[in-house]
Amino acid sequence: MKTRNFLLPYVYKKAGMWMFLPFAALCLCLLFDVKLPSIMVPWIAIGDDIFYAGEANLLTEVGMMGLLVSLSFIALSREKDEDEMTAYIRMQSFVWSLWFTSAILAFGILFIMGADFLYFALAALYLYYLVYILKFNLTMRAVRREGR
Amino acid sequence: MKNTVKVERAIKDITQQELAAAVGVSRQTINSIEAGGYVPSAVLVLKIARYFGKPVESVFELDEND
Repeated sequence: MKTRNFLLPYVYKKAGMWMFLPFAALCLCLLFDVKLPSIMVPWIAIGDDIFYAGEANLLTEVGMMGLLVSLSFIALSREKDEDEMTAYIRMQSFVWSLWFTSAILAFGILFIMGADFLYFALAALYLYYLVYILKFNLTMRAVRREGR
Repeated sequence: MKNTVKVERAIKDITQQELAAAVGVSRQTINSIEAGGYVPSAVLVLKIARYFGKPVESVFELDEND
C-alpha cells in the first residue's frame, strides 16, 4: 500500500542545509540591527488600505524568504532511508515541537511587551521549524546509533 | 506488542539488513521492532509474517498493555 507523504526528495535536504547558513546569518544581522546596506526597491504588497505600494528593503525580503525556503527544504524532505518508522518519528517530532513552541509563545505573550514583542514574534515564526528539525534529527540519530 | 522476529530471523539465519530489504524498510526499523521500541503498522506486520511463512499471531502477539 502506497501513501503519499508530500515530502520532497532527499537532495532538497542537502540544498536546504547549504542555504541555511548564509540566510540565517543575514536574518540574525537584520534582527540585531547590524549595519548593512539597505537596497530599497519598489514593492507592492498587502498592507495599508488593503494594498501597500511603496518600497521594501530587498535584503530583508530575500533574507527572510531564503530562511523560510531553506528551513522548509530541511524539514520537508525525505530521509535517505525513509520508511514507516521515519514517518512515525516525524509525526511525533511535529507534535513535540508544536507543544514546545506553544509554550515559548505563551511565555512571550505574557512576559514580553512593547517593541521587543514584535522581534520575538518575528523570531517565533521560525522557531517551530527549528525545534522540529532539531527534535527529528536528534531522534533519528539516536535510532541509527541504537541500531549499530 | 511482543514479537518473535529475532527468533524467527535466527531460525532462518538471516541478518536484520536482509529482512529489512525483503520487507522494504530500513535496518534500524527492524532493530527497533525487535527491541520493542517501535510497533509496526499492520502492513509491515503482514509482510514480516509472510516472509517467515508463519501466521501473524505466531510472530506478533498483544501484551498486557495493549
